[in-house]
Amino acid sequence: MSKIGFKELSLALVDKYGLEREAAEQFVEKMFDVLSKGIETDRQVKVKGLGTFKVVPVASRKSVDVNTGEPIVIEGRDKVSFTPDSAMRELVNRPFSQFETVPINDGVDFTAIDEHFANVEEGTEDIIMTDNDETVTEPITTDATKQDDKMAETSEGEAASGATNVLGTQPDETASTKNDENETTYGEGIDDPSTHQGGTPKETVVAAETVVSDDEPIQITEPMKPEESFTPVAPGSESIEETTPNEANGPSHPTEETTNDEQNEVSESINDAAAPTNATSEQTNEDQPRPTSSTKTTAEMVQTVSETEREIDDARNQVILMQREMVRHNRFMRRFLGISAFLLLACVAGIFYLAMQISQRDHRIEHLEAAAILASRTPQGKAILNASVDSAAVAQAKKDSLEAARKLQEDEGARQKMAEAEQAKAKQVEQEASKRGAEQAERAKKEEAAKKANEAAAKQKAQQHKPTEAKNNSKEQDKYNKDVRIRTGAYTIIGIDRTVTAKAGQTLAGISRTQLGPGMECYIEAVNPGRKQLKAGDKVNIPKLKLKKKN
Amino acid sequence: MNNREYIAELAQQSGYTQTDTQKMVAAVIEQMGNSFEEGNSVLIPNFGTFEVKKRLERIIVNPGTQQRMLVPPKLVLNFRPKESVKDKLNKA
Repeated sequence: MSKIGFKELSLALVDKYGLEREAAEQFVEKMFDVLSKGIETDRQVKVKGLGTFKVVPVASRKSVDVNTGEPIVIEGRDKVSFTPDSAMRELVNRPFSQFETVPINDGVDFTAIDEHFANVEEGTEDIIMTDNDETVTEPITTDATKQDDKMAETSEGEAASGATNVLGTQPDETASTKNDENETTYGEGIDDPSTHQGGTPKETVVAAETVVSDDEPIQITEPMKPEESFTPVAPGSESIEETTPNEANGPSHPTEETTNDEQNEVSESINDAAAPTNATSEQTNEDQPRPTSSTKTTAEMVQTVSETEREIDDARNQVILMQREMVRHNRFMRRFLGISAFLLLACVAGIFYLAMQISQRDHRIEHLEAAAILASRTPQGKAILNASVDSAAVAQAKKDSLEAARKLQEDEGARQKMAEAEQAKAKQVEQEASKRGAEQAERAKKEEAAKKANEAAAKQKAQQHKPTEAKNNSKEQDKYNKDVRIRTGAYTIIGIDRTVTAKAGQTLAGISRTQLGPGMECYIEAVNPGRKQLKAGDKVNIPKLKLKKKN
Repeated sequence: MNNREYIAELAQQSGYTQTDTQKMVAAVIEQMGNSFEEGNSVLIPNFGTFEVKKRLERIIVNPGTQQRMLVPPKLVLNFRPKESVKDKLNKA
C-alpha cells in the first residue's frame, strides 16, 4: 500500500505521448490546479473517468466537548465530497466484483455464534480465536443448510483445539494455525491481503527466516504492527496481537465487536496476571530451552525481521523503479527499432526504385540504340541507295544529255555537211547550170526562204494567239464565276457551249430549264449579262458547265 | 463545471488542444486507476489523497420486510482533501 505522487502519474504521459518529463509533470499539476480552482469557483467539478467533486455544506450541530463535557456547537462548514465515476468504481472494486448482496434465509440464526462468543468471554483465548474465525467463514458461504454443517465444523474445530490444548501443545500456535486454515478458506474467493495478516504474526514468532523467504508483496508493511506490539509487551500478548488482525476479518456478527473488546480485556487481564502458562507456551512456541531470554530473542528477531523487510521493501522499490526505467527504455528501444525499421524499409524502397529507374534507363538506352541502329540501317541506306541511284540517274542523264548533245552536234555537223554538200551540189549545179538556172535557183531559194519565213511567222503568230485565247478564256470564266451563286454552286462555267435563239414567249428561266435542267437559271444569267426580257429571235448563250470536284 | 468546461479550461491553461488534453487527462486517470488496482493511494500535493478503502461485509435489515441481507465487502475509492483546500473553501 504505497503512495504515488503526480510524478508517477506524469510518467504515464511520458510513456504514452512522449512528452517531456517536466512538461508532463506540469500538465498533471495544472490538471489538479484547475480541478481545485473549479471546486472553489463552481463548487462542482465533473471529470470523466474519475468522478465528481462537489462542495457539500455541512450544517452546524451541537455536540459535547469530550474533555470537559460541556455542550458545544460545531460550526457549519463546507466539505468536499467525491463520488467516483461508475467506471472507476467498478475498476477499484474489481477484486470483489463477483460478490452480490444476498438475502439471508429465515432459518439462520446466530445464537450459536453468540453462545460461542459467550464462551469466549469465559473461556480461553484460543477458543475465542477459533470462534472468531469461524464466524467469519460462516456468513460468506451464507447457506442455511451449509451453515448448519459449518456449525458442526465449528464444534469440531473447537473440539480439535480443545484436544490440542489437552495434548499440551502451545495454545497460540494451534490458534494461529487454525487462523491460517480458516482464513485461507475465507480468502480463497477473495484474494485478500488480510489473509496473510493472521499468518504473519505466527510466522514471525515461529520462524523469522521463513517469513523473509515466504513473504508476499502485500505483507511487507503488515508486520510492522506486530513488531511494535511485540517488543514492549510480555510474551502472552502475542495471542492478542494475533486476534486483533482477525477482528478486521470477522465483523459480520453484530455482537462481534463487543466480544472482541471483551476478548481483549480478557487477554489483557491474562497478560497482567503473567501466568506461568505463558512461559510454558513460550517454551513450546520458540522451542528454546531458556524461557527468560526468549522474549528478548523474539524481539530481536522481529527487529531483524523488520529490518530485513525494510531492506526488501527498499529493494523492491528499487526494482519497481528499475522496471519503470526498463519500460521506458523498452519504449525508447521500440521506437528506435520502429524508426530504424522504417528507415531500412525506406532505404530498400529507394534502392529498389533506383534499380528500377536504372534498368528502365538501360532499357530505354538499349531501345534507343536499337532504334538508332535500325534508323541508320534503313533510312540512311535508303538515302545512300537513293543517292547512288540518283547519282547514277544523274550520270545517265548526263551521259544521255552528252550523247544527245553529241548527236545533236553530229546531227548539226551532218546537216551542215549536208547543207555544205547541198550548197556544194548547188554550187556544182550552179556551176553546171549557172548559165541556165541561176536565176531560177535563186528564186527557188528565195521562195523557200520566204515560205520558211512565212511558216515561222505563222507559227509564231499561232503561238502568240494561243496564250491570248487562253487568257481570254480564263478571264471570261472568272467573269462568269464572279456571281455568288455560281461561286458557291456545284458547277463552274468553263465556256460557252452553244447559243440558242429564243422563240416568242420563251423566257431565260424556261430556256435554262429546257437546256440545263431545273434550278440552273443563274448560269444562263451569268453568261447573258444584263438580259432579263427576251424577245423572239434573241440569241441566248448556253454555258458549258463543269462539276466542281470535291477536294 | 462539467467535464467539457474542465477540459476547455485545462487546455487553455496548458496550451494543448482540447482533444489532446482530454486524451492526456484520460491517460493520467488510467494511471491512477492502475495504482488503485494495485492498492496504492495517489497523493496529490495541495489537493488531497485518493485511496482505496475496503468496506467490510455487513448485514442489513430491510425495515419493511424484516428481510436480512448480507452486503458483500467492497473496495471503494475515497478522496481526502488537503487541509489547505478545506481552509480555502471555508474562508470563501
